[in-house]
Amino acid sequence: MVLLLAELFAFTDTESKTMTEEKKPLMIQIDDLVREMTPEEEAAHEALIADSPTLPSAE
Amino acid sequence: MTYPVFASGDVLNASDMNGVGLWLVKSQTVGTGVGSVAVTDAFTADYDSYKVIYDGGVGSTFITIAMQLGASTASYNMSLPYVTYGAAAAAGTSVLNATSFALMGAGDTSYAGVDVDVLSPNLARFTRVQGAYIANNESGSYSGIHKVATAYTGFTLIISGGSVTGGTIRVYGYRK
Repeated sequence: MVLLLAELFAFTDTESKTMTEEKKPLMIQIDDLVREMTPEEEAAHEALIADSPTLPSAE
Repeated sequence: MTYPVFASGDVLNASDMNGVGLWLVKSQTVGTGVGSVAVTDAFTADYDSYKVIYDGGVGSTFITIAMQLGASTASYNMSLPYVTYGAAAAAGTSVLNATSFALMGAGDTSYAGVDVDVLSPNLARFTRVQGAYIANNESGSYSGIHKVATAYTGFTLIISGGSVTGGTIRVYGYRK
């Protein structure tokens, strides 16, 4: 029984990776169409917000 | 008919209608959990200046909202003098030749909003913006200029720090 529990809670490297929370894809809306951003759109989005200053409300 | 109050059945006189100063040009409902919202066909030759208001939505966490004109990703400049609530003195921030009009709006899990006037976006002139920045801990007066003399028909609100859900982006045109 103890051995079975040990096996139950012993994760392999692969399993532990799948247990981590996956990053949600960013969504883009164009007029009424809402869909996931493509990797290229997500990179462009990150570039657009990269030079935004930070104000106290964000801290 | 007594302008600007109209009664049911009144004739719409040209003189009265031509005196209406602000027209709703476009109303765009915002979806769920979006990181950017592109609003197309908002700016036309019918108007030179516009008011853009986004309200009624919420952020996924504290977020800020920037604006991009068309597909232009350069030459945005803005300044934002602000006062932290309870502080005696003002502070400020700005960007020079940035990728968007940063910090045009803000939001949190209880609100999200933008309130700006946009001048000459559909003309081959520099577009200027002015409005109010209102956030949890501070508010200020927003203004900026996009130094590209190109006419644009639409804009994108870009969410930084999270996403927004719901609410409506309304674009009003100031009568020429």
